[in-house]
Amino acid sequence: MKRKVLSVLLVAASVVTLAAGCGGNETNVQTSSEDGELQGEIKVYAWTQMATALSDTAERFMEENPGVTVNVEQVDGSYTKLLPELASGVGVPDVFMVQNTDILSFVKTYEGQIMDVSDIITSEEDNFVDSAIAACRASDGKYYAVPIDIGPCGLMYRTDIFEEYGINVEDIKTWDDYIEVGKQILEASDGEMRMTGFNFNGSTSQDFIKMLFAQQGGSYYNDDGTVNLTSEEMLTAAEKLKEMVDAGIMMDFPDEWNDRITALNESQICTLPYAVWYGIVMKDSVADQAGLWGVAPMPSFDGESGSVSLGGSVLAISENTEYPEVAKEFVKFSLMDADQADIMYAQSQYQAYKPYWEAECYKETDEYFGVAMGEVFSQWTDAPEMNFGEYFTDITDALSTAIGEIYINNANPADALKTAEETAQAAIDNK
Amino acid sequence: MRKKLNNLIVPYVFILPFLIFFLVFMAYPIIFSFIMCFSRYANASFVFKGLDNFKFVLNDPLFWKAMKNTFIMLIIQVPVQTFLAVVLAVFLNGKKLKGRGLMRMIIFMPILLDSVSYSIIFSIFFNYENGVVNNFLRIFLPDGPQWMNVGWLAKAVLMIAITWRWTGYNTVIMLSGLQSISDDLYEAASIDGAGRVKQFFYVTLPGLKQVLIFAVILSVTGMLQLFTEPYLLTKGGPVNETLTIVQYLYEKGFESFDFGVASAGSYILVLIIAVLTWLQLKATKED
Repeated sequence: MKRKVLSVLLVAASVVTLAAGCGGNETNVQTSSEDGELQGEIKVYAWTQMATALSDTAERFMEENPGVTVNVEQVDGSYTKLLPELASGVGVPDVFMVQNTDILSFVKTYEGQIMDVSDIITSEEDNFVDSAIAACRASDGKYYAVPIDIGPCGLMYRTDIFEEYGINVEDIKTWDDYIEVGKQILEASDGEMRMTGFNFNGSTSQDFIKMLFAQQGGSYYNDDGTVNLTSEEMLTAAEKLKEMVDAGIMMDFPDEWNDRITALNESQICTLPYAVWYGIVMKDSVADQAGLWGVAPMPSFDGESGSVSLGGSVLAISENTEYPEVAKEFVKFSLMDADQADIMYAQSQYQAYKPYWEAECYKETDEYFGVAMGEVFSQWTDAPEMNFGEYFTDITDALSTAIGEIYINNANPADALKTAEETAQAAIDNK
Repeated sequence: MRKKLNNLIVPYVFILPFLIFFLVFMAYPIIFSFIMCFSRYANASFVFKGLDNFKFVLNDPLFWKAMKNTFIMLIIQVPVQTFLAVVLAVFLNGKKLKGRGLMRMIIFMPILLDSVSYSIIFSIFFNYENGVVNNFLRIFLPDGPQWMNVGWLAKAVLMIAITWRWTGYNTVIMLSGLQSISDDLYEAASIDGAGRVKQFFYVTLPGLKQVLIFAVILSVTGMLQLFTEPYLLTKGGPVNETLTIVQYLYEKGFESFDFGVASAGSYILVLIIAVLTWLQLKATKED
């Protein structure tokens, strides 16, 4: 008998907890108390260094606003946690990090779930890097996220190796110069030392061609919104890259991220035309080459400006947040308040909000690269605007196949890109 | 009366935990994805699209490429693995073998390894520039092959990795089958003058049949649902040469957010698995 009572109690208890779990979000809709102080609790998703940075800004934010609790959760960059929540509309965090290439497709796919934050941004448009806010602006002209960082690119190079082969980095103005220097080094090192590398088959990364393409101000879409992968800029990018591969100055990185780190550690490549945020990876994974690296402007096509931005992410706010004021204030506090520059910069985040660049930390000399990275890269932030649109994943998928066709199967770039364009368009048309 | 009611209810109370799990985690997704097949799903609402999703999948050359890749790997990998598993099982079942327990454990061990770690280890092994395999081959050859840039080599790497991981598991299944074959049969066979080879074909194999079918169906289904290894090792490359069906579905669903197409594709896959399983059962049926 006793046992029976106990089991009934247990069952009852579990039912009650279940019920409590379901009804939890109906209570407490008050966002601020009478005297205007912020109150509430918000959940934030971010990944890698940004999660660390936001945890730090959250602490400061909570100190200034005692009524507020901000919980920053470290999630993965491929949205395994976020997507099911957005799809079901349950458990969506109040604030979440998204790649700048994905934000508009999220706005489209999860219509009505991402808050219009134009009121925060519009008055401060000039303070943001153009290319960064352009990525947050939907076709209706409204902003759906606040840019976090940008990825201005520079030519990182091994000063010791350049010196050894008697090469002056200032001679590299264009990609043609880059190829020439590459050939010289290749010859002088008996074919051992390559300039850099990328994933020839396109399956693990398409960064290099995207970088060459964006540098010329290319667009992935026609004016009518259809996919365009056969533009002059794309063809030029593909052909220039082919020249580099044919010259033998490129190393193949089948698994680009990891193979690049290996190649750096083995001193198999001597330059890296890449984004500023890669610095923290090098300091971490190629620590013993500190002091051997220098930074120069990106090579370009016209010999003038090679500015280009690679990567970058944004913070979006859920439309269904219980505490919209808290969420907005926290985003503004973290991303639009230069007092937080030290936290962001320490995590290698190159902010899209320009006033951050004035902070002291941007001017401090970086021991790894021997220059003030913040200051140096601020000269290269005028990258052309880029519209990633609502279907960038489909474009990337098709482009990855085209890259493999061109650099592995020796297909004609124009044909391979034409096929890619049709594939991407077909996938988009079906949606 | 009361007792009767109890008799009626009590069984259901006992199966309730299972029933809840079944309804929430099996029945609900199955029905939900079925509805998604015929619609455009966005923002928790459906727009009916008829057969458009199926038309798209069946007309997508990439889907057929994924299908072809999956079947090529299945047709080569499953027989090789099954053969290896049977041979290893017979070897491990040997009465006079010393250290049997240890060897069984070693052979079973790969399955205990997390699939992410072992995929990464294989990708390091087969790295073109710095991998162990190529460094070894360079002792005899001028250069090692570009494993990840040649379609059939990348497929081979995948198959080697999968075989390495799953053979032990299959061996254990076979071993359990072997142990259910009575020693009397072998004794009788040897009295009748059957040698080791004949014993294998006339006693071991027939006795193993049911277990063999079970293992093959498992492996075939596993290969048809192959995802983790290509996702981590090759990302479907080079040029989609190792893209599998499930990887295609994943890309459509969770990268392009086209859940309709992904659901339609998974129903096509379900159909294929059902037909194949039915065929295997039918083909191996007694008489």
